[in-house]
Amino acid sequence: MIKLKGISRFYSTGYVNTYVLRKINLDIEKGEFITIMGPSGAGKSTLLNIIGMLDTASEGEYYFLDEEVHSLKEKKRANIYKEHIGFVFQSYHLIDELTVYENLEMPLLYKKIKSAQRKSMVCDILDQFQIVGKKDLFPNQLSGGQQQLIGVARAVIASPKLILADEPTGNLHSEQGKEIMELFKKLNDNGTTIIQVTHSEINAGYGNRIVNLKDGWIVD
Amino acid sequence: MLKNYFKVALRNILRQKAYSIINIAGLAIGMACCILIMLWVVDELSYDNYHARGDQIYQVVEESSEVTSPPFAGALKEELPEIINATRFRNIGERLVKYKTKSFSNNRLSLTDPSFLDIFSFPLIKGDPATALNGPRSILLTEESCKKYFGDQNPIGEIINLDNKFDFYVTGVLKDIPQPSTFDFDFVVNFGFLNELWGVDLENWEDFSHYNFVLSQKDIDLVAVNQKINDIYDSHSPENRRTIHLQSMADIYLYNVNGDGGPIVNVYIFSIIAFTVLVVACLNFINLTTASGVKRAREIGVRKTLGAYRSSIIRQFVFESILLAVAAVIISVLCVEIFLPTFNSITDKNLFLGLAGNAAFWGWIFGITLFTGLLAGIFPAIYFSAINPVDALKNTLLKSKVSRSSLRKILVVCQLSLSIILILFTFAIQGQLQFMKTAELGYSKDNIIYLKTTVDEIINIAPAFEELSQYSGIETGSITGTLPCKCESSTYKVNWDGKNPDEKVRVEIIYADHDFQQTFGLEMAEGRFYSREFPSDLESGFVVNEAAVKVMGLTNKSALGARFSLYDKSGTIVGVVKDFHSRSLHYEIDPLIVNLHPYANDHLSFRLHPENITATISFMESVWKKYAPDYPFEYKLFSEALDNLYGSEQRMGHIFSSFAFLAIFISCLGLFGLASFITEQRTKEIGIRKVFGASAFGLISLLSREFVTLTIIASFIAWPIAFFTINNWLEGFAFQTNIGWSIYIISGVMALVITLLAVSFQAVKASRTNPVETLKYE
Repeated sequence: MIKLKGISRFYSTGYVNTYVLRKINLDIEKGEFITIMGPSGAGKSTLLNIIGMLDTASEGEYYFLDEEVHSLKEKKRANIYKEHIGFVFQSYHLIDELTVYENLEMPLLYKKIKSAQRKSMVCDILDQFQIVGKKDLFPNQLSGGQQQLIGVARAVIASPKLILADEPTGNLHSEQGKEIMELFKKLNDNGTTIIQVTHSEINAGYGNRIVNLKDGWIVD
Repeated sequence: MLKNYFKVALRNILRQKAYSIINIAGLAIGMACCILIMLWVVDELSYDNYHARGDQIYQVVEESSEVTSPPFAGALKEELPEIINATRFRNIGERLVKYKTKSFSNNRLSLTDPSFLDIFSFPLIKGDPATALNGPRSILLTEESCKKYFGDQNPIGEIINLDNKFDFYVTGVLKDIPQPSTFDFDFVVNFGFLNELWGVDLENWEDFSHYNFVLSQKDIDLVAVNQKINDIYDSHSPENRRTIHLQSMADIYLYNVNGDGGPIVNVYIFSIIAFTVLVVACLNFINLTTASGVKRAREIGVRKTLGAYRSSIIRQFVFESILLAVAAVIISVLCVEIFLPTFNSITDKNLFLGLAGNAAFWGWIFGITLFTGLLAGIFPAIYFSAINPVDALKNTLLKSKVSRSSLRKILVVCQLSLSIILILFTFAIQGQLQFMKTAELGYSKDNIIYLKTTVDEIINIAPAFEELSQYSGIETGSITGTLPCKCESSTYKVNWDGKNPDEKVRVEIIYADHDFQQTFGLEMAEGRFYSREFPSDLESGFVVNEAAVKVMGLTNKSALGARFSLYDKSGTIVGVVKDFHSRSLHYEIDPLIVNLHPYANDHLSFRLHPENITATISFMESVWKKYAPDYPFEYKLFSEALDNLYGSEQRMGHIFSSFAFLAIFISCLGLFGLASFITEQRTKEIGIRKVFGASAFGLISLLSREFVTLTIIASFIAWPIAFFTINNWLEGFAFQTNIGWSIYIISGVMALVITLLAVSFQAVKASRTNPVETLKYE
């Protein structure tokens, strides 16, 4: 599903290139649950952003479902991730001005899904996540765990093939974190590919493969 | 999707109340200015646009004056195939009008030919346009004056009396004259009446004191027609030196007769101000929106990860700014409604908001809203849409990027420059006004009052004038054809020994009596003024000004006794009066003759003794009532007449200072808002500096430094632009005030003070916060 060949990412500061990622080679099959681990500054988030097409590699080739992502224009890339990828963030990143219902609806708006269908999809997901009662609340009226629940719900509402989660439980206490991880497990069991970044060994236990990063290199 | 944008926009507006108020208020003020000026401009441009065949109507004008002589109309119609119809026209001012026992004041009488009703679109409500003006004793009333005299009664066939002397039969009622119009009258009678009233010779080609209008064929060759008109004029008045041309109806109000200048200049200037104020408001909006973008960056990041294209982010922000523009336009229309009476009194207009059913007006409003929304919105939209979602979601990089944005500095500089230019222009206008009001005019203006009457009254009033002149409260009195500041008549028919016959010399004439010089305190440069001791003055004496002497190539001394002639009066120069401003300071001092013409004129001026003026005036009124009981005693101050010469500049000064103030106010709002955002972003820095011992003053100067620099840069940009435009404007005056460099410095200092006031509030607030509070959250 995903093929990274010699991916590097560096930032030019003056005359020196500071490398964040170095010659990453990685193959990810459909249905895997990958955990990216490593110390701070190892390049975990950068790798995730490149896979998610929010960032571009400085060198190397990236194939997503056999598309040459590295040679695509921005708009085309946006089309791919809009179609296939859902994002979950450490600090949830819900839009404060929108209610739970409206936050969930937003990805569907950008996919130009018709109003009636949108409504039923949002209702389904509210049902599935058992948050129907919260649909008219604003994010700041919810606890962190509840907000992240909405974050995950928003990521999966359009049934993406791949979910990218950057420390999804980093801001949550353990009980809430466990709930979220159970949720990921369930999604993975239903066939969704998941890539998560985490520091937590426990969370890594939910996945079926671990990729360790150190100073931008993959280490075994 | 729009619903989603709308909700986010609305909730953002409500959440950041102060910011929203500043933003909307700035836009609303800018738009209100724009709408007010737009109403004014549209009104100026719509003078006389109600004539169905307006594009075929021309006025016959001379090169420097709009008046021509009575035979033109008939001759042009007769001899030129391009001219379909022609009419003469003359306003003769207020008359005493009576119907049975009723009389009202303010009755302006005009005279014209029957073809007037054919050429212009003045429909009759009552009467037959083909015949209404034919009779020598026919009179037409406007709807308004008809109501005044007759109420609901049918006026046709009723008799109206003019000046206690002439009876007229009402033959028709004109629909009220659509406004704005250069025509302004209450009654119209046949032009021939002028001969009966004043003995005017209607065949005199050299009596340049009337209007002539023609209706032409469509699409005439104006140059050729003008040439033919001059040929006709030359054939009838071969010794003349005048050049005649046609001025189109649409240009009569807006342009001077020679084609340059006139009210059109103000139309341009005010349009530029309106645009400037609106641009200042938009710059404000852009600044505040981009500065507040830190708060929106995360939302943009999220939207992008959810699949928003750059274009949809642009659409969202443009939509938001249009939404704010709509809110602002609603407020601005309300403001306009509230301030319109004030604006009307400043501009001396009768503007109103045509809210209901005026499609053009709504079109304009729609246009302004869209323009403002796009201008203000497109820039922040492009700026925001370029945000990288990774940066935005990390929420760190962006902060420093936004506060350091050099583009925002450019915007602030633009805004401040425009404000400084407006301040400078306000100073310049006030300076020139002050200069004109205090300039040495060559005559005194204090304690002089004047009355305007008509010739017939003066003949009766001679004994009254004598009686008044005896009264101790009145120092001197004089009867003249015009006030010394408002000379309107001129001629080329002058001659002197040694004059080059091909030379064309235009000489102004003031008709006056023996007491003119003393009453207005004119000074003699050489010789004497007219005196009753020299009865021959009437037949053969001339008093001219120094400019005339110069044109004759003589000195003041050698001019005395020189042969001189005006029309068919010839004689010698007995005195040279020192140059005085016979017109406003827009004009040079031209050669001028004070022509002795006692009693046959219509301005009565009196120099009063400064003590007991009230008693003097009530005495004058009692004398007036005794000799002319039917006529109101309405006196005016000479000094007011002088001020009125600069009414247009006065109004412009008022408008300019108001709009300059508003532009500055908007800029202040913007700077205030901007300063608060920047201070907020630097909260952590301020906290750290305080912990390390920075003083309050040090912090304030740190936070204000950037704005001070920007103000200084703005001043240097504004000064040369203002310098050139001000000089350009001043060139419209023959006599100009000297605009010193000091106002440039003052304007810069003013801008600096205003900026500091707006900015330092935030700086002081920040310097007072407890660093523990601010650092805790970082």
